[in-house]
Amino acid sequence: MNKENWEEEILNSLHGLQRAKPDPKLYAQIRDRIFDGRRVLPRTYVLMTAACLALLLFANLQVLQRPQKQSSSQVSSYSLDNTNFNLYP
Amino acid sequence: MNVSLHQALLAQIALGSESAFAEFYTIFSSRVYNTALGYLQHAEEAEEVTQDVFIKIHQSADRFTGSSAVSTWIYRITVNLALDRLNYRKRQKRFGLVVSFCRGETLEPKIELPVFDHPGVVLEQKEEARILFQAIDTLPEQQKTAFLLSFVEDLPRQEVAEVMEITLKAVESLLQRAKSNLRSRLSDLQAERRI
Repeated sequence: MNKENWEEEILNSLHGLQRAKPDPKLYAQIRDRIFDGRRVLPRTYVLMTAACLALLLFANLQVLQRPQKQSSSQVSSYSLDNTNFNLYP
Repeated sequence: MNVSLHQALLAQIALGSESAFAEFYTIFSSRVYNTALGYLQHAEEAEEVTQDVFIKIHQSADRFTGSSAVSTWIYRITVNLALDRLNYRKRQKRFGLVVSFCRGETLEPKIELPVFDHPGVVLEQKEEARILFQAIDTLPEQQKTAFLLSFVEDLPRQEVAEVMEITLKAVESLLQRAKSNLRSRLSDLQAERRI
């Protein structure tokens, strides 16, 4: 066989190639790594959890700030009332 | 090819569905494995890359924008991870050479890959395909990718261009150069065989 024919034969040796398939056990290994082992959470879940936590923190801060405002207003109204009693002439 | 099914499966995977992931694996596993095998020419390493590809798909399913076909996206991930693995292998080889040099040993690489037989090659072509894969291994990255996607994965040129994010003309040019380099490598191999 001459050189050109040999090269052509080599270059055409992939004609009719069938796709190679992985070992059937491979899926179980991948599944274990994703769903059982160190659980890999989808990004949407992580983002939603972070958003919920932020919302919860914000709501808590709002609740904590509210009574402080009420007490300060009560004190000021009390002191105002106190000055209007004219107890000491 | 059912494009909307692929996208629907990806959306379910993003929500954590295990059954969608299993179906997705059934559809794409042989494409991923076959591509990785073309690059690495080693069954175990190709399986490791296949694992990494599917884990990456699971992690980033919600980031798939739909700007390309799902299969194109998967081929892109596979090519990148297979090339990363090849580069890692090269680094290991270089490190091994440095260590053996420091020990005053010869510079001959000690770990050589065994002869690779692709399991999908027709029986009469086994010997020829073995030589071809040996030559493919010496191609530069871009030429190797164009050649493997075109002739091992049998993708249409347009899809190869989309996977590689280059023009159709650039793919044709890469294939031409790849064939020319392969011919030259084969010529060398034939000379070596005569000796």
